[in-house]
Amino acid sequence: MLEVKGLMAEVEGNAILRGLDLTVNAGEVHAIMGPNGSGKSTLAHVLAGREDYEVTGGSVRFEGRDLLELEADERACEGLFLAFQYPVAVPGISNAYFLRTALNAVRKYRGEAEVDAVDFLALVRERMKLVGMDEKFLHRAVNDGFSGGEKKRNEILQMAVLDPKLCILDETDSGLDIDALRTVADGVNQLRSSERGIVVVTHYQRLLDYIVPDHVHVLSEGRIVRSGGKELAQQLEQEGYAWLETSASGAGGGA
Amino acid sequence: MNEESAMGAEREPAGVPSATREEIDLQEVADREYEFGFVTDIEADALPPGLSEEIVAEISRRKEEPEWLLEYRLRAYRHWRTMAEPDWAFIDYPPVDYENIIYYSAPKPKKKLESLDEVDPELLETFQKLGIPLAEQKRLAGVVEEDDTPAAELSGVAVDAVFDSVSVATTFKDKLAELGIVFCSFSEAVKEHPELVRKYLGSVVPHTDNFFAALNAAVFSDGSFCYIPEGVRCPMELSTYFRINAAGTGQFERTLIVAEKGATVSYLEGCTAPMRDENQLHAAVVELVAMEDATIKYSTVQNWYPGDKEGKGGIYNFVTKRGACRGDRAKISWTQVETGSAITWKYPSCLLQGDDSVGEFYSVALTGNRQQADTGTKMVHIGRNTKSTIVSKGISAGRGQNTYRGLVEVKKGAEGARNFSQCDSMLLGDRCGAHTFPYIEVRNPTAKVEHEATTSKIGEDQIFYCNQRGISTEDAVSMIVNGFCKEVFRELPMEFAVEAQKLLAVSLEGSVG
Amino acid sequence: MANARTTRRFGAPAPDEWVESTRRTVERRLAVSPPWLASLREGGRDRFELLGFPTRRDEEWRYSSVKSIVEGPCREPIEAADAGVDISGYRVPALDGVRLVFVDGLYREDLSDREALAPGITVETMTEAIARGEAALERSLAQAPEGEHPFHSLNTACFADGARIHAAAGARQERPIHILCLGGVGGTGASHVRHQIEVETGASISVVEEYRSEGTTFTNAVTQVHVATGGSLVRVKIAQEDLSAHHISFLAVRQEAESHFHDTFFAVGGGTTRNEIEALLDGEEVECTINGLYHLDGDRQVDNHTLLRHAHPNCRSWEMYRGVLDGRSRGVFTGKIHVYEDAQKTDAKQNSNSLLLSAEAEADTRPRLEIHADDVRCTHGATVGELDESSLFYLRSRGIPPVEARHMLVHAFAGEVLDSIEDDLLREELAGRLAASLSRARAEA
Repeated sequence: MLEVKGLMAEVEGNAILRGLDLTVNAGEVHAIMGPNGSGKSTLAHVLAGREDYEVTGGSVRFEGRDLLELEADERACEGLFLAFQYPVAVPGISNAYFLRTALNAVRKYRGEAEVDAVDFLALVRERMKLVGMDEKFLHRAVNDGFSGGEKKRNEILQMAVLDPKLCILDETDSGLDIDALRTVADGVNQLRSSERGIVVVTHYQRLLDYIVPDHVHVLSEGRIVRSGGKELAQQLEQEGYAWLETSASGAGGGA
Repeated sequence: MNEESAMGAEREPAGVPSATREEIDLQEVADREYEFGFVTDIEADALPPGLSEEIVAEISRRKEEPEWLLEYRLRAYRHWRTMAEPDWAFIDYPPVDYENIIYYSAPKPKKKLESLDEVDPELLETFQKLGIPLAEQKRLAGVVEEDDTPAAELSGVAVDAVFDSVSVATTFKDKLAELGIVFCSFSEAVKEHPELVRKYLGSVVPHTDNFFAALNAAVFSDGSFCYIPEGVRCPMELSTYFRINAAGTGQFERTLIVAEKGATVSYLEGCTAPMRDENQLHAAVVELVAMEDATIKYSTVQNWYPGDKEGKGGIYNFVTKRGACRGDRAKISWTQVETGSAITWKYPSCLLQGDDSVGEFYSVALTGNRQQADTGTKMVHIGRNTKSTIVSKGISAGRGQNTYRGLVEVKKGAEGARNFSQCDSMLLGDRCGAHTFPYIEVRNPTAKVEHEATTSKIGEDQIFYCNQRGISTEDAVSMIVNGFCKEVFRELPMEFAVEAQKLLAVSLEGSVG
Repeated sequence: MANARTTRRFGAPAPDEWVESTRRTVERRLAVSPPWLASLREGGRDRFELLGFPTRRDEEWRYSSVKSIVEGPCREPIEAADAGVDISGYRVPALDGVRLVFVDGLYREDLSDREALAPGITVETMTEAIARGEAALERSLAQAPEGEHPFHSLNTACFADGARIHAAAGARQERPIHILCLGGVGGTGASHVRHQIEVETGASISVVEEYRSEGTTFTNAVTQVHVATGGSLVRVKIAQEDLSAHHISFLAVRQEAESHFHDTFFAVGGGTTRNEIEALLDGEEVECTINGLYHLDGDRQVDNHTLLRHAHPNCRSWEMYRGVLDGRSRGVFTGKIHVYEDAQKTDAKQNSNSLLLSAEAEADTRPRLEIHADDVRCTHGATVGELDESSLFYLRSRGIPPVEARHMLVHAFAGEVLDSIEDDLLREELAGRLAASLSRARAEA
């Protein structure tokens, strides 16, 4: 579904990704871990099409299409969803209006009929249960004045409504207490399916206790330096990142 | 851009509506201790009061100036005659009688000075009392003078001292000269570096700019001149110390600082005056020119005599200060701590002409008793990706009136310009005023301009909390006010920052009952 | 309120043709004015001649030129008393109910509807009130605002009519009272209207003042509002005139203790518009909200001037002005919060935001605080800029195409002003008109 080859990207002239490879198939959950500054969030934003990040090399194919050719909204319509680490507040736009506009944009792109207000409300209400959100959030402005946990839940709600093929969760666990973390993880787990790929970007292993990955990758200095199963995450938790970097540079000839 | 009408005209008088409630628990207003209020008994060589073409010519003659400068003065004088005193600021003062001011007063030298040692001991003592060292050796204690890399070893502060209208001493001149830095009195620069003076004089603040700038251009007597050649980082703080001494005189200095490509300089300015019952006029002009990659940091601690508790006496401070970032990546940073003067009218500004150039304005203005200040800045974004920051802290006490007035202008071509302004006011007492009058003019959609302003007082709970922890009310106020001003003080060079904090504490004494 | 009248003249003397035209108009008015009004009119005329017209050199007019009015074709009042006009297009469900219609400044009984009045509410015309010899009228019409300018004097000298709404103590009217002023029906020219709204103790009403026009006209409107102790007034002003029209309006408000006033200025039309508001919070525990929303394109401009005078302790005011600026338009905001000595515990918030949609648009903002009391909370914030990039990206990352995403954000920006209008029908009506204005501008761009 997603095939990243030799991806290189810069932010304001600083190389952040330096030849990254990653393949995600439908039905798989991948965790991308790594120390601060290793490029995790950059990867998430580059895939989503943020303009401040300049791709300087490599390729990304998504469902057979050249992802890098597409605008941010086209990528979303193609089925790529980014759950933001810092969801943006949009004062003045209600959550309901925002979500319905997004859903209809995606449906239109896919050649499907738009949903009317009644059907939309029914759908959202059902999906809100998934993340334990109160209906009053529908009428509040998007993320405006939301607590950290509310914002993250709202991200998962959007994911549930938009029904993407590939979900990228960027540090979704940051700023969450354990209950909120569990709710959010439950929501994500219910969205796991054989047709959907999920990429979990995280610094800590704790989210992976709840969203158990099939594959774990370690990102360091803009490259994946180690890949393995879920036990790799546990190893990282116990031993930290330092040993990996030294062993990786030893093995890989300088990461 | 000029200050003739530059930011605008407040049509209303500064008068405050009379109180409708009984004046209960009126706080004891402070007797402010002004510690620099003494007069030096020194013979002065002064022109008679009043202004005419003859007086202007006489000033020029006494200063042995070249013809072109006399013509410049006369042009300015003639223009000034056509101008009216600006009335748009939020200040209120009786009309100034320009015919009753002495425009030139110089301490009479016993003979021509060959070295610092020959400076009148009375003068040296005056500056000593003010804490301004004019003796180089003192500052150089511990420095190896014979070292042949002067730049590495120079430290301390080079001082140009201006007494009434005339520069009396400049220290470290020779040391600086070794690096190609010119630091001398304005009069000397006219003689020694006429080509530089002629090139830059009036190039940032033209003689037509505003009423006070025109007056200054006609009668300015002295000031400092500073030129930093390409690529040179000035190794010490340059400083000018202004002192008004004689009665009935106006002081009109002119400062010009030019930093060539890649040069860096930090400049400090301090001012005091004796306590007198009359109001004295101070109308200075400061021009800064920063070329490509140059940085000029200009810091002022203004402590002119503010007048007494009833508003009698004090300096009228009408100053035009402006810097031009002529080259790409040039930076001009103004920091001012304004605690003195009966009236302050000044707007240190930046013309951001070069791409990526940066302008900064950090200000603390305190008005107590009957002081009035209308001060702020103008940031004119002309080049691409120019940035400006404005941080203004106004403190009003007693019956003081404190106004921030600032312009942020983004011209059509200033793609990607950014400004952030923060204007905070603090009121100590319920008979003072704090006013904020920003002007924002944006002609480029890619610009991002943000302005925030707040007004606060020191909470009784804060004072109580401090008291309960053993801190006196006075100390608590001083502490809270210093905290309020922190963002500005940290922009000052270390020694100045300490001085500024002390000054603030003295100025605040007794202002909270 | 004290009227310490300045004698300061404005930058340009009144041109002869204006002086003559005004004298002629005043002559006509004098014939139908009682003596006290005649002398007010003559005073207005003399003052206008003394003050002259403002120019860009006058500080308070630095961003808006009135040259197009002074030199334009709209000097003479139009006054076509029985011009045929169809107002069905201006009748919308949100504004159905009590309606006063003025065509080119003159009252039209045939188009108005004063049936559905609640008890205690009086809606009459200024002419009727004058004829009735209403006692308070002389004093109230003589009041001059702090920021008096020649258009105000001109209005006093020349106004033909206007609405006079009175809500007796405790009276309530549910639906808004609609004042509809149509200009340009009888040709090109000026109309000077003078309205007064009096809300007595504990009364509560809402009023919509709407201005529409065809062709080039000059509307000079003065509205005086008085809300007595505990009274409440919601006012919405809709300026939706022809894109070549000139509009200058002055709203003077005086609020007594514990009263509420909520004002929304909504402009989606007009060529050059100046909107001035002066509110005196003349008692304790007053609440005052002054909001504004304007959309501009082409060469159009809106110049807003507001002054909130906090004269007593414990009052609260909120102000939010937002401009959406496209084309080569110019949006100006000058707003002052004046806190008097002793007006302790004042809580005042002012915000001005301008959204620049084109490279040629210009925004000028002067938020002002003048504070003479120490225990107050006063803040102002001002922003000028484009649509926020990160919001745009967020919307696009959810699949919303760029044009639509921008569109949504513009509406969101404007929506925050409309959200404070409690009346659902009215809020929806204005949202619809804003959307129409935005799509007209897009279509013409």
